[in-house]
Amino acid sequence: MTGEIQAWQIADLSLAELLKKGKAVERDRCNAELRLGILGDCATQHYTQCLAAALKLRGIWPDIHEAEFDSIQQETLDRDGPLFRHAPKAVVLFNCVQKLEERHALSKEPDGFVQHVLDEMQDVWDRLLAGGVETILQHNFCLPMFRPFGNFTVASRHSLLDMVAHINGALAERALANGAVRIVDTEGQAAFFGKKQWLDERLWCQAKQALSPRFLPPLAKSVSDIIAERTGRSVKCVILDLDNTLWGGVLGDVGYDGIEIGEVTNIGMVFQRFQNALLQLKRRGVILAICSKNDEANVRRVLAEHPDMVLRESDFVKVSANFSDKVGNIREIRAALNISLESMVFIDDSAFERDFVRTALPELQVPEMPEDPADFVTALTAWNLFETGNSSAEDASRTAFYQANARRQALEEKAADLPAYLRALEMEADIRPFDGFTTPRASQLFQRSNQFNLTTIRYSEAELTAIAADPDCDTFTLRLQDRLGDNGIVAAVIARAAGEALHVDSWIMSCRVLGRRVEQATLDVLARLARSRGCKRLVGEYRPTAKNAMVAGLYADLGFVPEREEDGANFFVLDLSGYRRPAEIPIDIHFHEMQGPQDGEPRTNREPGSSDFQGSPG
Amino acid sequence: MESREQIVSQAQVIFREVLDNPSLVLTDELTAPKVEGWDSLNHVTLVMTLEEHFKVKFTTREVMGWRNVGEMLNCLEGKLNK
Repeated sequence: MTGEIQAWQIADLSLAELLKKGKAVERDRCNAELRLGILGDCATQHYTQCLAAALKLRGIWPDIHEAEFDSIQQETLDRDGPLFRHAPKAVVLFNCVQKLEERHALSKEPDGFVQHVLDEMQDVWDRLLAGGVETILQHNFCLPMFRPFGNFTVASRHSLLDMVAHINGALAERALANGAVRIVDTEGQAAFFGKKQWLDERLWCQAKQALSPRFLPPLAKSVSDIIAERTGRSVKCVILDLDNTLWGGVLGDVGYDGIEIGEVTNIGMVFQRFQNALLQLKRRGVILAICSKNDEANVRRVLAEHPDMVLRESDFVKVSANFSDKVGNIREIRAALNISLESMVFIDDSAFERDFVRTALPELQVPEMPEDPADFVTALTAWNLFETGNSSAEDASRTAFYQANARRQALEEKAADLPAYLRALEMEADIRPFDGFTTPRASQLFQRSNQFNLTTIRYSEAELTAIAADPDCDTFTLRLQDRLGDNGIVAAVIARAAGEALHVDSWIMSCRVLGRRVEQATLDVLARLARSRGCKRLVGEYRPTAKNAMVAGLYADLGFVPEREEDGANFFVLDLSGYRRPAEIPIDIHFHEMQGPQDGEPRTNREPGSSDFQGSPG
Repeated sequence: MESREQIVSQAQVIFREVLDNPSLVLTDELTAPKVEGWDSLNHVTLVMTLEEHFKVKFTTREVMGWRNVGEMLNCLEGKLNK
């Protein structure tokens, strides 16, 4: 974030405002850089300027190669050409429906059209990935509006509409399977703003513009959302006000049975629908918290008993209802959850509270809520606050993880000494290689974790799958359970064998489990894996970023010896002949074999047969 | 009924904003190649912005036919004073 503009605002800017604000951003205001390629079969000049502006406004300085008009094939085929010489890490592919319409008209074999288009796009992806591109941002197609069969167009397999719908569906499936490809939902945006406005035949005919330029700011914003998410920035938590935000009326004035929620009134219906939308977010893994100036007992009663509330106490990781100022309360919520302010959004109907919070906590996104709460969900849609790259089985349980954590913290505060507390937790760690079940969550950790992340290499899901199949690599996830509940998969590690050394390529841990000795348990797993390969040393690597100072001393703390510095990375060595499992690690470790739909032979993270393997205490 | 002067002064504001050129002066003889930044894409934005501002719609043939700013303004004036 570069100060005065918050990410959500970009979608609301006019074309001229966005370009002007983008130009005003100085390079030193950006803390990240991105080599980007932009290829389209429509005119991309304005699009490129808008995307560059959107990225700069979020602190990402783009170095862009914009391909010649309609040269997706040529540029991706030319391995020595300008695109690959630019060495982009990310490439945008803006294919437009107008071009598809023109090609469809010329196509002699309509039956093979869908397959032909898909194969051609897949070839482009393959060429880009083979050329070292890490992320492909593929626009899907705006579904065409012309209805040659009338209403029957939706049912006819021979309509272009049906073909484009199939292409979009297949693109989404292939992108998900690939992992390095992300779909930009052009169709969703066009439908949101209205296709009669979005598509303009004159603009296509005059200037090969795929959409009216006035919609470029929200489109560019949504592309920048995917890029930001790929660099580990995403919204993980929504902090909500209550009175006139989650329900109508002021609870303290109108009382338990006076607040407006549910079908009792029109406005009650509005708040119910807003809560429904928040419930969808919660189910997909965004955690919800309350920050309200209210009496806590009254609030808890509404959450527990009000018949028309959609959201219940169990849907919130934290309820902060008191009369102290909201900035202090939000700071407390942030500390309890141990996530950054950047990954939170604050929603409040009061302009005063919004302004107060925004001024004190500029990193926190505080969107300007519409005056009519009936517009809340539409506004959230326009701002596209909740970008994500994948979904995992853990998403739905995330709230429960944080709630159990809050109980642990309460317990810890009461416990006389930490070791006794940790022993009393009866922690168990399940170690499983990256497989069909664990890879999606491992991929989330790789994409999202910034703080406890030793090398911050953002492997895609497809890359993780390939690494898991490499016989020279050991991969594992660590799932932590204790008597207060399941923490889910909290760590992911990749280690690569080279001679007598096992090199720790990536080590990521969720900050949810800091202070629980999971680091020591993870090291113990690494030591066992190394020994079972016959390796004599563990090599650790730390690459500093703006956000991972937390683990700068990790390897030294674990007994590694600093070895060398190279290309900005610090290397550490642990001689395994001197390593013994610390007796006080309060975590039982269990090894499991690879499971689930994974190609090739099932591999196992061998339960090492090494003689000095020690069982865990108690 | 809008006078030619009123139309020109409003259009000039739009031209200056879209082309990011605060000192641009509109004359009838002005053409795109003479103005920095007036490319085909900005041309589209200009036409669109004029349409929105004056609540008119130009046909593709009209847009194609303009040889200079004067002809564009004539077309606009004709629509406004129909």
